Amino acid sequence: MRRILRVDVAAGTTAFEDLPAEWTLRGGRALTSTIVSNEVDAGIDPLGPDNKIVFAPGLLSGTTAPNSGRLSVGTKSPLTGGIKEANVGGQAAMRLARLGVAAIIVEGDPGDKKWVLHISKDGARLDDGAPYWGTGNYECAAALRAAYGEKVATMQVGPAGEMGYKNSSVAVTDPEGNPARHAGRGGTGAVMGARGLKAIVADDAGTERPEAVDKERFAAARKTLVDGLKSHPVTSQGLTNYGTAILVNIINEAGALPTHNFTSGRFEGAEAISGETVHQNCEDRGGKREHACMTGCVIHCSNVYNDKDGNYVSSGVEYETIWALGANCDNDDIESIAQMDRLCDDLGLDTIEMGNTFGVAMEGGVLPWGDAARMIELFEDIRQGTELGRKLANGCVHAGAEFGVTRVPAVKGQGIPAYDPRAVKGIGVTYATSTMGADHTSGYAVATNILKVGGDVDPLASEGQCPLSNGLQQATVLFDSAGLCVFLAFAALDQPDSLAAIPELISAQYGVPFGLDQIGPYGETLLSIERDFNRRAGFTEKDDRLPAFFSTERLPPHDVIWDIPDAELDQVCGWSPVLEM
Amino acid sequence: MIDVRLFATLPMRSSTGRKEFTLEPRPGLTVGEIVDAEGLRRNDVHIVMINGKHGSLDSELADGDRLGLFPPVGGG
Repeated sequence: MRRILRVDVAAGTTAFEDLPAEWTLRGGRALTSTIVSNEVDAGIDPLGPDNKIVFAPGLLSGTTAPNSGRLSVGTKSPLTGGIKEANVGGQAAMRLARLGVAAIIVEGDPGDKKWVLHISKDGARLDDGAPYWGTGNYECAAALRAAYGEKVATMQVGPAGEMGYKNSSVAVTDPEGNPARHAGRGGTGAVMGARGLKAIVADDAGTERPEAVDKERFAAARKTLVDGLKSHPVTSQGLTNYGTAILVNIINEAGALPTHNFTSGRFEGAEAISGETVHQNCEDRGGKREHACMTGCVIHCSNVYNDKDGNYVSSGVEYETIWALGANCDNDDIESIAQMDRLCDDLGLDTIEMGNTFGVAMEGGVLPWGDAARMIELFEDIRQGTELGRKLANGCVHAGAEFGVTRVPAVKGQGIPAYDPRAVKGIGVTYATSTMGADHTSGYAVATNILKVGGDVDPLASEGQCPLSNGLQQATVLFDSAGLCVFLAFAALDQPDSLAAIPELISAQYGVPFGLDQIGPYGETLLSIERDFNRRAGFTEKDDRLPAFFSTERLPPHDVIWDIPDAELDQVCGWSPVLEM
Repeated sequence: MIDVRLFATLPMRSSTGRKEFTLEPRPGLTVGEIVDAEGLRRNDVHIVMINGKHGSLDSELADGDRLGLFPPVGGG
């Protein structure tokens, strides 16, 4: 039985509520966005006492469906001012699902109180969080394991979240207990910190898997999907062998790797920070390739990165991080990038937003381009909360205002990820129109534009990009709501049977009809809820635009500008009549 | 000259193991012929980039071209 756990940090109490029957097929993002939309006034201060933070495992989390352990973290974002769902792997979603928790709603003004929320088969309670307050994520995770048991999964905020930085994540522990997976985007950590909640501890000892209503259909669909993932070359070889960082070279080759704060699409130092280099270093130093961020993953795209002496530095040195703290800042030193990845994880900072911020700061002359040593020093400023540290810890838009820089790569206040929208126009549509702000994962048109997965749409052409992005945004809602890793889409976009297996798994698990033809309407329903929240928060069609410099500055090497008409973007977002798909 | 780069697993699968090399241009030279000459199977190559734009195994190459060959890759 799935239930909602309501946590009142003012009173220090917890209570379980039945999940409303009409929300049977809402999980993950669908549930966090529904709850935030219903319960949070869109006009409030995101860091004030009236905001709530919601945690929801996906509809398939805790089951034997592959890669089903994604967790959604929802709130009104302090970074964008709109609705937010930040999505993260690790062990937490699986544990929560086994505990029968459909969602945790954290609300109330804690005053000076600090809490740790503990959930087990015996119930939920708030414990004193003061002993953990002020610790970095790594120290905190170790202390929580020592206190609550080695097998617990934790969701926690680092110093960035405690200090209310708009760039702050919620960390989730991986199978080794490292707090290396992050609901990174949009400043969810600051909302959790403002609730006085340092951590949530999920202990699923003595629980069972959520059982499917129709076990035979579930098993058959599961087999279809696993077989598909194990046969598709991207999910069985490309991602497995090299991880996400394999993209550095191909995006660079395609002339779309944002370099020097989005002034070029090619980075001279790409090879030094490439997936091939990371792969070799992991092999040579006793690190790990083919690391799984969650139990039940069949892709294994993560890694464990060690230093030259073989000591653990960080886990999941990923493409976005390498780009953000590397190419975007003219930094070709992979060791410094791995170190900064660890610092971001420990402080609880989003690596993408941090890289965007450094790029803006470098453009403003705050530090020299490519000065990795100075970048690393500045993390101590952020940890200590110095004046300069605070200017750097509230996202790239804030930094632009502080440093007098107008070339700020952001949409709805959120920094643009690792694909220049001028050279990968489909992802530009997603950046512009996503309810989340610039978010590559909410409609990953790079697959079709560059990677030749799920079709082939010329990345440099303006035609076809809006329908592509719109369809992907709708489908992604279902992945995010099912708790499925979006990388399953690499197989599902090319294999009709794998795609059909996803609604079939949901249907079999819950014993209700749910088929392929419902993926689009399911996504559109949720996107409408999210857009409605954003409108109530004050967003207009002018917020569904890329920064002006993308339309005026030509990007080498292809010498291209952003030229998707505003009217087409408005069709995607429902500001004007919907496109015929 | 034509600048050729092989990425990810392709150098390991080729007969020469080369990651980057240059070739003399000649009329009618196609990407597929270069793939063959390196001892790669044509279906090992999923993405062909010529001067940063998608090409195919049948694409012809000219002096000054930059060719990138990739197996299936993904990420995000």
